[in-house]
Parts: sequence; C-alpha cells; structure tokens
Amino acid sequence: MAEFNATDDARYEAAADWYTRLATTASEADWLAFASWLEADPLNRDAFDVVSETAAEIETHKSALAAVAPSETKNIVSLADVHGIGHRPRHGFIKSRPRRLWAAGLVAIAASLLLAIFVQRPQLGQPALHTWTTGVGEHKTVKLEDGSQIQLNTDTTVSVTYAPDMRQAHLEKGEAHFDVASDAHRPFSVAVGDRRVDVIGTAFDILRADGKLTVTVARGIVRVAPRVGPAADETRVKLMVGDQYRAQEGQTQFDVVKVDPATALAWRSGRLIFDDAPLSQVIADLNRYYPRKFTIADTATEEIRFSGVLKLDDEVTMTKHLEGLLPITVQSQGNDLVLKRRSPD
Amino acid sequence: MRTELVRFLAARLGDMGAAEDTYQEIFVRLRQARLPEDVGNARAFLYKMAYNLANDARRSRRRRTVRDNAWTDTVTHKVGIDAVADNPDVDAAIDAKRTLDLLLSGLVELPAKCREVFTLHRLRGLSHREIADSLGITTKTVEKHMTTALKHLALKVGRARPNAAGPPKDKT
Repeated sequence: MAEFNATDDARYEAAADWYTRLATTASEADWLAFASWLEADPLNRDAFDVVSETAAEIETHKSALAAVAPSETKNIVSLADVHGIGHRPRHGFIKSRPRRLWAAGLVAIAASLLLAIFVQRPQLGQPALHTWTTGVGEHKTVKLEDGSQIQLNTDTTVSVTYAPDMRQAHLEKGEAHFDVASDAHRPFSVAVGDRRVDVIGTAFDILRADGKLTVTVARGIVRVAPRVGPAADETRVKLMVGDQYRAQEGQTQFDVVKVDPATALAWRSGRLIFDDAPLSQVIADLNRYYPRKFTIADTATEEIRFSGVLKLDDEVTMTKHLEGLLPITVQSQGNDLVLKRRSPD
Repeated sequence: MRTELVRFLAARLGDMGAAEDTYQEIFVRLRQARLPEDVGNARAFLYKMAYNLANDARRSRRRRTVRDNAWTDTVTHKVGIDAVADNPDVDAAIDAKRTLDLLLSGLVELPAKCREVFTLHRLRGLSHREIADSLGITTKTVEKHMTTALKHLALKVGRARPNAAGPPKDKT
C-alpha cells in the first residue's frame, strides 16, 4: 500500500535499473546483489513487481504501441528482423519467426515488407504519435486531425498523441502556441516539465526555456497543475484571457500577471515587442532565434532600455535594426555579436 | 546451490513456501526444456530461470487477486445470487485498454531520444549494440534510456492502481 512521492521515484529508478541490467547478461554476483536489494525493503519488491509487470504489459501491447512508433525510426531495419534470429525468448514465450533468410535479395524484400506494414496502418481508432521539431530561427505550423493547430516557435520540440478518449501533448523544449478545437469528450492536455496544462478548447502559449515556464492565455480558460502527486488547491490555478503564469521548474510557487496577449504572442507574426525592457532581457529573448548570440560589452551598455518592435529577420538585417533603434554598435567577434553603447560624437 | 536459489526466490517472492514451490518448478522445467547450445555460466543460468519463473508467479498472483476482487465487487452490487455473472472477457478488455492508454500517454511524455531508444529496443527488437551503432551513442547510454523509459512507464501504471494510497488520480 505505497504512498507515491519522491522516494518512489528513486525506488522505481532502482527497480528499472535492475530490470534493465538483469535483462542482459547477469553474473552470479549480479543476482546476489539483486537479492540483497530485494531483502533490504519489502517496498523494493513491490516496486520491482510493478516494473516487471509493466515490462510484460509492454510486450503484450507491443503491436499497438509499435503502430505509433515515431517516423524517425522507420528506416532502421534490424538484421535480426531479417534473419529471424536473435530474439531471446522472454519469460517462456517463444516467438515463432521465419528462419534463415540469408540471401541478400531477401534483405530488400524484408525491408520493404516492414515499411509496408507501417504504411498499411493507421487503422481506425489506432492512436498515433507524432513529434515535430524546429531548428533555431525556424517556425512551423502543424494541423491536427481534430482541427487543432500548434504553431512551433524557434528551437522547439513538441509531441502529440491522440487516442479515442484523450489528446495528449508534450512540450519538451521551446515555445508553442496551441489553438485547441473544442471537444468535451476528449480533454486536451500538455505535459511540460513538472506541470501540465489542461484545456477543453482554447488558445494559449507555453514557453519552456532555461528551467522557466510561462503560460499565456489568448482565448478561453486553461488550468495549470503539477503533473505528479495529488494537486493541492494552492498549486493549481485557472487562467483566463490576458493572464500569464510564470514559474520555475522544480518549485511549486508561481506568479500570475496581466499581459497583453498580442504583445506576448507577437512572435507568431514574426515580431518581438518590448516595453521599457532592459537590454539584457532583449538579447535573452533574441538569442533563442539566432545561432550566433548577442552579448553586451560593458555596464554602460547594460543600462540601456528598449521600447519598440523588432522584426525577426536574418542576422544581418536584425543587426541593422538594433543599430537603428538603439544607441549601440554591433561588432562581430567570433561566435558572438557584441553590443556596445556608442560613444557621444 | 539449492540454499542460494531458495533464498533468491524468497527475496523475490516474499514468501518461503512460494519459494520452495518455485524451486521445484525449476527442475520440472529443466527436465522438459531443450537447453540452448551455450548455457554460459550454469549458476547464472539457473538464477535467470528462477527469476523468470518468479516474475511469472507474481504476475499470475496479481491477476488472480484483481479478478477475485472485481468478482467480489460485482457480486456485492447485484441483488440475488443468479444475477448476471461477471464477464471476464469484458473486464479483461477494459483493463487492457486502460493499460494501453497509460502506456501511450507515458510514451508521449518521454524525451524524444529516450522514446526512440525504447521503441527500437522494445518494439522493434534491436539489440543494445545495434541501437548504439545506429544512433552513434554508447551502449551505456542506451541502457540509461531504457531504464528511464521503463521507470516512467512503471510509475504511470503503478500510480493508476486502485490500491495506491491517496486521492484518485486524474488520467493524464
């Protein structure tokens, strides 16, 4: 009867580590060490039960899970698949496989058969998982099957899985604007770091960078809560249009401030808007969009504040914008673009 | 060897009686099984066998307990003994779907590289070596990814269980 908390995380980590280790070649010493770990605490045995059962469930649901395999791995064909050998019987189940396809010609056939299997799916009602990534300075808009849209900003990775009764996304890094189609039977949820954002149908922006999390609501209502553990009322919050939630990952406290959504989401039309922002903040935001990073030369330059709009152009044009709008020069120094206050003529 | 194996099984099963039974089972199996060409270290091989049998035993025991509890719940709610019997096929199907949903949502939450390694190994059957070579990482890294993936999925499955303490969890 376990209470789930941080020790569970450590315990399950140990259990999973043992499982992985024992699945490959284990020496007698390994087996004895494993027995000692089990004997140390009955909760260890319980955790290992869950881990080994989960492994068995994964095996049971293999084909359903494999149908949502990310497309990047489609082209990697295991030689074992071709030769029909090398699959260790697990827990007494012996898989029957075609044996001894040695001829080189059959390698090609086996490969195209594997691809054909992927192409024939998805079947109706089969969940599908997709991952999208943008490079530095890149944008991408993705349309989902229910009419929802996700706009990815620079340097961002988002994955999504849709199943008959759930819509689950994961913002791994970067910033994305979610325009979610209303569907009361299928709540839309975004996992981001140690929190989750739940919506029914609405438009909002999530930014995750440098251990900081920001959620801005453009339309509708969203709820932010911790992802693990029972969500106490103080840690959950409902946000509406114009609210911006700010938090540090790993800490439960957060702020909610009022913002103009148009300003915060200006990136969607290729602009960044600043209102009396210190130069350090301006370049911190800018640097997410450019491979070469802007830096500040000295304290005199640091004191400069900026109000205005920066159009997100290529590096050369942006440099011209900055020199035009601010009392600075921008010098290229290796991998850096150094901003320095212009000396009075 | 007997003492060590029984001790190992007792540690895994938490019960001396079950450990003794499973120990007997090993030798029943050994008599019938076709041993692979290269058994390697015979003692390690026996431990592996004991381990597999013990894992299976724990799983069957849990399934029986769940089934029994579900049946008891069903009977409690029905009026009259000859009420509609529980349908194990329907229960199993619902249970399977719930588990699949949990695994899927857990899969989405994994970091991309971790999920990729997991998919290649567990779902596509590539060895650690093959994955390491294909992705240009070390086998140690592959193992770390596998551990992370399994831990995350196990936590998902474990936390959704009815006998977990605490308020009912939201389905994530």
